[in-house]
Amino acid sequence: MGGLRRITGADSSILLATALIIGSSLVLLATAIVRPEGGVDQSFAHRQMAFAGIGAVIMLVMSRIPLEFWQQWWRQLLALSVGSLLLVRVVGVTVNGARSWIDLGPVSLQPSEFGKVAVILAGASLLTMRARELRLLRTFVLALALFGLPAMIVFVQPDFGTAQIYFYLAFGMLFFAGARWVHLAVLGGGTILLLVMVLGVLPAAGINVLHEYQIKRLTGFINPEADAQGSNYQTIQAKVAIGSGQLTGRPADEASQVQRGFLPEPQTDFIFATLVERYGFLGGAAIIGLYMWLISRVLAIVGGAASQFGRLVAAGVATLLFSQLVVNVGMVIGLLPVTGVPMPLFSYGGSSLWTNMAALGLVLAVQREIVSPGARYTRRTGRPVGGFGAMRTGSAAGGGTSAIGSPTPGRREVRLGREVAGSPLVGGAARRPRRRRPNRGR
Amino acid sequence: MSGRGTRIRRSSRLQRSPQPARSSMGVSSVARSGREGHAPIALRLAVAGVVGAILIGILVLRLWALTVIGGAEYAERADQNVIRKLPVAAPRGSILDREGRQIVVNDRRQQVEVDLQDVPEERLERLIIDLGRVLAPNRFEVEETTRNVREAIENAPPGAIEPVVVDRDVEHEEIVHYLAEHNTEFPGVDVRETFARRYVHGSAAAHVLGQVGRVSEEDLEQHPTLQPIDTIGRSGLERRYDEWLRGVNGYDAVEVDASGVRTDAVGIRGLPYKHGLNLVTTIDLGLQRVAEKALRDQTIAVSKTADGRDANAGAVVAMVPQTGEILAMASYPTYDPNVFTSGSRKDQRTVKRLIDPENKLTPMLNRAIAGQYPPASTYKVITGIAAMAEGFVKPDELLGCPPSMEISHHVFHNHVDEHLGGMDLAKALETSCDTYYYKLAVKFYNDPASPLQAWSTKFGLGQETGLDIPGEQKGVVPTPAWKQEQEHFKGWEKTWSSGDSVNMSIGQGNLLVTPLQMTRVYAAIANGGKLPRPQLAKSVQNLDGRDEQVFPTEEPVDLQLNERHLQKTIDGLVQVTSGPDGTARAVFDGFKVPVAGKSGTAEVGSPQHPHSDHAWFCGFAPVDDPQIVACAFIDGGAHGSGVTGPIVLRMFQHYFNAKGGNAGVGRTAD
Repeated sequence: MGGLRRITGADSSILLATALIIGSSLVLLATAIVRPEGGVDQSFAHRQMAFAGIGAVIMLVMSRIPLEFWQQWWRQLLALSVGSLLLVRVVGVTVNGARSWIDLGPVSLQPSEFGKVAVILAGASLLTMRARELRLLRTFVLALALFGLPAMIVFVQPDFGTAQIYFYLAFGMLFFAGARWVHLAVLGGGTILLLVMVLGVLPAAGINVLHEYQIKRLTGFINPEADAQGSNYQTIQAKVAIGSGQLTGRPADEASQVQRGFLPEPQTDFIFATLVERYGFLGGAAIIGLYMWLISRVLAIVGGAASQFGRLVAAGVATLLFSQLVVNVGMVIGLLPVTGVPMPLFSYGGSSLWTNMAALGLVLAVQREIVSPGARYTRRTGRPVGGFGAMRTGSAAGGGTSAIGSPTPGRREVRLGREVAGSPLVGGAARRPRRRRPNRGR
Repeated sequence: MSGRGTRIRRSSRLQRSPQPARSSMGVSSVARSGREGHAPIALRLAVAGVVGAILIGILVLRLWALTVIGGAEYAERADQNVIRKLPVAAPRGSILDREGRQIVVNDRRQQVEVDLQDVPEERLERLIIDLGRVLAPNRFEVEETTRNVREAIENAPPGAIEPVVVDRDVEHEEIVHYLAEHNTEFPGVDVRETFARRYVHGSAAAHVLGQVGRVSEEDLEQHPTLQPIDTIGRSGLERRYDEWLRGVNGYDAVEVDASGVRTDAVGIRGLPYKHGLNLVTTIDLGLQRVAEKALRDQTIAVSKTADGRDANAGAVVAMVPQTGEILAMASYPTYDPNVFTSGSRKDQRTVKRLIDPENKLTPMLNRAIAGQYPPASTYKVITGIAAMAEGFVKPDELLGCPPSMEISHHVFHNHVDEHLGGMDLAKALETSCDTYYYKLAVKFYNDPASPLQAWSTKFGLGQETGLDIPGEQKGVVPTPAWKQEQEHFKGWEKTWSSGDSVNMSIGQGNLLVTPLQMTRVYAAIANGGKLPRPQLAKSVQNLDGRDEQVFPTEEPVDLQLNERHLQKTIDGLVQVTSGPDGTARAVFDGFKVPVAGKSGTAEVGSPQHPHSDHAWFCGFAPVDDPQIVACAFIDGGAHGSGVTGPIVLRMFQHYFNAKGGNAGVGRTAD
């Protein structure tokens, strides 16, 4: 592991846990998925292996990009992400009822997946910038809007599953950024109230915000036997698959829920059911344990991050992994509605895998800050040309010299400067930009 | 405005409030933010950790509940997903004759079923068309077959679990192979083995065996163990011994995938059915067939004679006199029960005709137990025994036999016009002298206790014999009280007259019996006055031929007859077949085994239609050691011994493997 750390400069636990989860997924895909006409279908495993290879490169690259880069370009990143989400509305391909894919010939991409990383970076940047104003409701709402814009676009695709992940990211990052408890409580309570209204009270009163089939899907898990052959078929078949795994699982030829096609989406959204049918409670618990290990390592980095930005990035990634895990597993075991959220790192599919590996790459980058605080950046910035450090210093210099009549780059430069260069601005000084806000608003 | 101000103030206060932040001024921002944020981030990490642990805990507990606590149940459901338990109706037991020869067996058939649960709705139309194409015997019948398949599927009760049978009998093996090879194109379709009744000897004992039919809704309610696929005995032995004949259903376990396609897999678990028990009957198959053939031959022969007799129906019963075991029981017209299980259109038409209530011939009616006719002279044995027992006549007492008698201003005739002189009871039977019995009838009429009716009842008339198949009729033993109750009698007709006694004494008038009852009367005479209860079942056996249950015959009821009276009666019956004036001598003359018997002609025809009279013959043999008693009856077959005597003769010839006698259609006096 020491060798691994020397190469990547990364937390070997995170790498190891990630590798174990992906490896387990590959083994499962290679042995459990069958063709409709019979026989093991290893094509998913082969493709996922290729995806994982590309994902490893993405992870490595992300871990090597200095965090300052993202802080500098987050607006463009966010714009790109929102733009591609809007593009999907125009040229997207509809899969499973949701128009969320862009067909690029050999591969199809889901912009809403990569958007998760984009909002983590954008959110972390914004919340770092506004760290001092965080306790203001205005900032809280602004941050919510940042997450809310892409979430709304995703929601109308319609992809309720991914949209809710954006919401959890917003909540999680605001939470770790230090938002006020009362704001968080109102947000959480308000959301629950809204769901109750939309799904229960309003339809009962005759007002339908969602289509009936949508409500059925979202509430069917509560009493799945009600429409066992219809909208709750997936929930029931998944439960049967899981339950039949019992403690230690069923042999391959007896894992009939997957083998005979009763379990829908056995390699993607319902892969956890595939896992438990084959390897039982012990297999399922072991994989959940791996996630707990991984997420706890990410949380350790949240606790020990060298910068607020890094902390928030790590917190966003932890939230991303955790919320996807809970939403997916909760759905598969019948505790939560079927919303089409894949199991992070485990479900078959490139977009999701790359997103989560990129996110973990970001965590490794945050960790590098702790491992070599400042040192590597000074070493890098020693070079005048090339590297992201140079960009940072260039930007800072530009802000000082050429920000004529343009407050925006200057503000950005100042904020970056405060954070990175360590010029403390506390007390009354912190209030000055706030007083200028009304002007900025126009 | 003030609100914003407050907010700003509060916010700034809060910014200032953390003490460590103030004291650590001047430290580099990275280090400071790390340290300053230490306390809040630790708190938030702790909260996140606790919340996360709770959520994961819920997931793991739920996983535990599903897999370990509820796992067995879900595993069963997973198996149910894969395995369709298709009930297999157990084959019914065979019905055998007393020697173990098969009368009813089962045919194996291949039946095509559709399990609608496994057919997606949008797939159904294509499936119907495909099935019509495949199941049609030739390309000209595709349309009709498709229509039949569609009808079967559309008539299926909604929500039924049972598969719908679309073809009961696939005759071509290629169809079965085709369906097996193209299983993916036929979701929910199974070809399964079923069993159908086959009647080995066609119409042999058809009325005794009875029918089977599909269970009805009422059957299912009454018998909770029945399944909709079951067949149930509807009549005859099939009904009476249904619980033994019916086996225990099993099921085929068929593996399916999520789209309902049957997948061939080895090691399919299923539950084998339990074959129904074989029923061994008292029927002597050889005798049965002889009886049926003789009955048919005689009926047809009589109706073909030039004198215009319109014989169209009849019945034969033969039994063992000591035990009541039925050796043969036939009813004419008869039918071949195989038409009921056949699917051919010709047979379907036959079935329609058989069960048509307009059909006057009622071929489904078992006339041996359900046909009620006046017994005519065969009844004279009871009149004689009753008169002797009541002291109205002594066995050897001679009474005159005039050609006619006037009783209460009515003249009653004998069947011969000359005076036959004085005769004892035996001679009266031999010649079947009616006026001899009229004299007894007057004495019965004058006895207020109605002893003749009492003796008739004693001999089992007017009541069910207790035969072990349903459908028996009781017949009628008329009494003064009975006459009074009859609504179709008006005024004076309701009063019992001497004429009623006269008619009854020779088995005419309102007296009605079934051929089985009459056979039983002669069995009692052959059996020393002991009246047996007739029975058709001997035992039920498993497939190895071991008895599972024996049905013992009932001990005959001793009628306490005087031995001399009985002997005199038997002497008379022997003289009927061998005496110089015996009415049946022409038939039995030369037959090696001594036969005791009596003929009878029931006058039901009007003077305009004399030939619709009934013909009877009842007899037993050998006289000293009776082994068989038989009655033959032909509706419209007048006259007695010449028509029905040959039937009994042919049965005895077969039974004793003896030759002799004259079995041709004849015409003798009764």
